[in-house]
Amino acid sequence: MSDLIFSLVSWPRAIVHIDGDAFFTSCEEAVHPELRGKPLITGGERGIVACASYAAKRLGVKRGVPLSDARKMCPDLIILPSDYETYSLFSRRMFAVMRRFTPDVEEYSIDEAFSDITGMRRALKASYEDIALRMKTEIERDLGITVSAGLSITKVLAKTASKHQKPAGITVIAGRDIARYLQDLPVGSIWGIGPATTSYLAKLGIRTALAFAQMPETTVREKLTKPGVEIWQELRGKSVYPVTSEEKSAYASISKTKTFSPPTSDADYLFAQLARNLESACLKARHYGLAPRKIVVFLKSRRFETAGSEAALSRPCACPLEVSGVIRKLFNACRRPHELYRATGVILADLIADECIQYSLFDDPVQAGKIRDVYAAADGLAEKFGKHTVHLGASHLMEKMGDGRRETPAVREQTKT
Amino acid sequence: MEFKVNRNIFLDGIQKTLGIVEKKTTTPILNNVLLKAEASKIKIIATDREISLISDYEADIAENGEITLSAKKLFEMVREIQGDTVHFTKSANNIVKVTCQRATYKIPGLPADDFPSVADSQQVEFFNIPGSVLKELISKTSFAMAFDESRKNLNGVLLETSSDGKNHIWRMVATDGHRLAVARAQTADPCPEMAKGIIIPRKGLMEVKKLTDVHENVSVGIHKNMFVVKTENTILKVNLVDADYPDYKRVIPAEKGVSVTLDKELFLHALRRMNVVSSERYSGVIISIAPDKMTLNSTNLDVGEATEEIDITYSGEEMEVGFNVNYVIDAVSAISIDRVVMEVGVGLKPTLIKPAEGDNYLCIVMPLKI
Repeated sequence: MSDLIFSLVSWPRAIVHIDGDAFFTSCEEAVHPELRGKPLITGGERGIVACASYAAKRLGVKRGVPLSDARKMCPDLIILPSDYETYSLFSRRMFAVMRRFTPDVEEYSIDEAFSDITGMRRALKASYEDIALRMKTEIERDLGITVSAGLSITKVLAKTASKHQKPAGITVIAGRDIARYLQDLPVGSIWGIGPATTSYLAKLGIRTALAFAQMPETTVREKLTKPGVEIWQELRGKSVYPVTSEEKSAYASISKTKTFSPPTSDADYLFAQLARNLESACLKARHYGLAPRKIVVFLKSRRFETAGSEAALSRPCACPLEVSGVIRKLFNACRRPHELYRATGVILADLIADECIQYSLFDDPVQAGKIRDVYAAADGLAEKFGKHTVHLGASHLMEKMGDGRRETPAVREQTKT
Repeated sequence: MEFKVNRNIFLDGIQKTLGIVEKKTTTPILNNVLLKAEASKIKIIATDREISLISDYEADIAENGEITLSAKKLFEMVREIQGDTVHFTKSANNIVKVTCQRATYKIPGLPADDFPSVADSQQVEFFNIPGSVLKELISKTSFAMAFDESRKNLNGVLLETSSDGKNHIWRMVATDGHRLAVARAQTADPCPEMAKGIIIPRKGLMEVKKLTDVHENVSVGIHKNMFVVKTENTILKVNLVDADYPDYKRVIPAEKGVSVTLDKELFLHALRRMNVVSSERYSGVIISIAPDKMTLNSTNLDVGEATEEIDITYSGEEMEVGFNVNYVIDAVSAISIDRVVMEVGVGLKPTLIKPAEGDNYLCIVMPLKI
């Protein structure tokens, strides 16, 4: 690669990034048109703002703000509990619209996706700009929410483009226009450049994305790690990150965490929450044929302090029944008796394919085999009757007390059918 | 302090300390070796607080004294020096001048008083064990040690002794939870008495093995939670792991598995051919046993498949069992005679691998469910 500035060809590749605008609240507004345009937030069950509508954002209510503060900023604020089922339905529909144009769609998160439309101009009889615009318009028309779109020649640039005009904007960065878009962009707002790299680059005198992209290759390779070099290449218009359309199956870790309100110090309830997170995480691991070698347990206190502990398993295992003892020990190790906790979480780490099981000399393989059979049957029942139809005794409290909210349900929840 | 020493002897002495001196330490002096010149000997002492090595070498001492110097730099300097004799002189401010032929180095040292004290070994009671015997105990078991920071007791070997007055038995055990190796040796001289076995940690064990590689005349002792090994001119002290070893006898199968006898080299080569297609994700080998015939198969979705048949001595029903191929290779490699016996556990029970004759070695391997 030369130090010559950026790509001279306008569209060596064409990548669209679609990003939902205030996605959760937009979904709520789409389902409940009477809420449209009102200051609105979701995350009521967590005690903090998960997502704020643009009307709420204008009043200073942002993601992560405690509800009490949010109410002070905006007395008319409408507080809704999160309704992840609806959001994930909207998410799937958004991806489905994108797939009308190309099968190369990478579901990056619940409200974001990349798609590679290189070479689709002839098939769709439209320019890349028009394809991106149609993608955006069809999502907005079919779903009743707004999204921002970015079109460029690499993923990093497409993501930069979609952020350029929010909400409901569309930005096109062609190869020859890269420098113009990067010149005023702080380097820290590039996708993948975190606070540590930002302050490191600042020490080198690099503050804007353009200055970063113009660094000589030798300096970049010398001063930065591999991801840094890759982002540098992407910014210069050399595509190194592919749009991966296949369903994700290689996970390094699986994490499940759940926040509840009000915070509690009730050990049984906390452990039930934790056991349910374990079950959810293990379910996902089994679905992908994976098993963890390490388990991490963490508790988040009312004051947002996190305490955690971890253990290595003697053999990879994704059966809650076998690891619940380990979880109990870890739970006891990080819980303080009178502390009020607002969330619990489980991380299954160091995942490997669960196909060859190396039993330990100090194990009982017959017993372990039976437990696997139990979970194979339980997974079958879960498909028919719903997740967690068969669950640990420890998490049974969740069935009795509900899985997140213990206050009186909101009016909307009560009327929900 | 001033002395002259043979370059090759000194270089060898410093090299032996390189495995012990800390590479990353917050205490700079632990990067150093302590040199002590007294009574026509130069003493080189290295420690990382867990392991200490003290060696004496013949030297021409002009003036007694002591100093600590960076082990790595000293080694590199003496290695590059040519000539037979190296001349050391300590001047004021702990500067040491190293001269050989027309080359001179000046190295700043740290005062010997700051070096951690290495407990002296006057009171240790030593027991003779031939270096080759100790070495064999180590090489037959050390492969099975665990690499697991959270299970300190398995990151080393268990050493046990027993004696009925005439027969003095030494036994070394290692396990990582998936396989377990036990080696046994007998000595003419008495062995130390121990209430329960001692656990020698990995790093220390490797240092013991280095000594047994070159010395036959070895004696060992246990003193104040240390394993002490002595040769003609060297004393090595290893802090023991202060933990309980799992009850390994419990996992040695009580009932005999399906017994197969086969040629060691034939088996080992076949296993190595299987290993070519194995990877970290797929390291399994499926061993199928039929009358007088064993079939090995390894299948790796990323690489390919390997199959091989070998002749065995067996007259029973057909059966099939899976293993991590590396575990079987390790177990068979440690056997020193031509014929190997495999007692295959039925129904996910452990399999025992041992020499066809003698009871000096056995390895238990847990099967892999494929």
